[in-house]
Amino acid sequence: MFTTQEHVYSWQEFELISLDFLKTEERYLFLIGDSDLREKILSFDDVSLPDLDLIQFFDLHLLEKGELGIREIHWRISNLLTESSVIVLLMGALVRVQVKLAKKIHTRYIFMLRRKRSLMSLMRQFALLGIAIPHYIEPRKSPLVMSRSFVRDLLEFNTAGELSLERAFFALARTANYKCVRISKYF
Amino acid sequence: MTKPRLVAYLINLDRRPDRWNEFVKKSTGLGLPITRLAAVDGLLLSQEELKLPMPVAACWMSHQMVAEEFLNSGAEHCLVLEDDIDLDAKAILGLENLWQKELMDIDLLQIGFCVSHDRLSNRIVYSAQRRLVKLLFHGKLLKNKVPRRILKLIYGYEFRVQKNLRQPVAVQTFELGTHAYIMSSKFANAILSFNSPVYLPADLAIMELTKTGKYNVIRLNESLINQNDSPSSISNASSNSLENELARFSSSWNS
Repeated sequence: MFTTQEHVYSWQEFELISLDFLKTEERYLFLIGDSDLREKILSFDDVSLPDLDLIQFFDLHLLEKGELGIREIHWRISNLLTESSVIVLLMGALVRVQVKLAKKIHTRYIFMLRRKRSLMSLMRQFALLGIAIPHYIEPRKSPLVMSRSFVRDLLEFNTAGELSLERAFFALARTANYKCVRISKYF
Repeated sequence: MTKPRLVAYLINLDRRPDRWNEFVKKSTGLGLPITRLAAVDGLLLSQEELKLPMPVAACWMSHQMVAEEFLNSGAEHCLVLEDDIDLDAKAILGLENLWQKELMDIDLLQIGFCVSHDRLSNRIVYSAQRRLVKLLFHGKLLKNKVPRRILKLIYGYEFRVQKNLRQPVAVQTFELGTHAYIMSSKFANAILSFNSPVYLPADLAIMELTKTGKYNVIRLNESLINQNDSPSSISNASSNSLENELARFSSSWNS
């Protein structure tokens, strides 16, 4: 992995760092100025990285709306629903109720659980760092992990530096072409 | 020869004469000199060189082509329409009205945008926003700083009365949909130099240019021109790579 130990604030700084990164054989660029987070990631037993294009470490305030209109509380509640053993037991009991709505809720819940388990598997040890939110990257200054192909595409996309670093990675992450996850409430 | 103040183009695929014919039929009452420009056809592009599905990339390339044509004309502003617009009486009247206006320092004016299930792109309820802004405008409260600040707190962007247009507009925001807008030569230059090769669909690209804050971008409070229900040439063109991966994992849980 190719790591920076300082926060990267501007597109110009990013451009220089990523050009150096692309000269290496490394698969991932770590833009992590947060030393605690960096140490935590470096201490993983399994050093192989998840097959993702962008991992962002950033959380909004509980009632704050993200760029795409979803409040952070939505993700916290979704996480609670799939984490809480009480709810898991409750949903298990629900399947025995012979009511159409109960069955519908149970089916929906199983879908949520499977999706969550899939995401956890995909993220490997990164899943232990906080609440994983698929797709919903925020255009904010934050610690980032980028795949080699994402860095290359980012450089090609924002060649003239028209967009700031935050808007550029957000814009690419918003398209359907990349596997991006935001980790909220990390640690 | 004097340069025109405003030019108008309609983007139409050569293989969709039905849309052009529909437009010609409906625009008989529209007294604007609209030039047809043949759209870049996604089917003629090579997918290997593209980062987006061919029709989506071709849509942005078509808008870049319009920008180039407009810059060559030497006009101050350019009205851009896509061929799937729904040209009703209200839209015709609104377009003719806009054609007469002095657009001065406006770089981009979005006159048509997409609303899905009464929601705008950031999930704000469109009908409530439209009615509230209209009410404040008619009550002459939109000139006042306090209601304007409250609107900004609610929606994340400002509204103001655009004097030359004599109607309320949202400031520095662009919604999904590139089927009807007016741009300046400054913005046309930005379109030409941005997003090549094509990484972003046309509306997301324009949204990002808007977010740079370098351009004076406004959109009408109420969408003047909507898209019609003719079969789309670009819908269902992309599938999300993370969702595909999650679906693959999920199916392995089943087995």
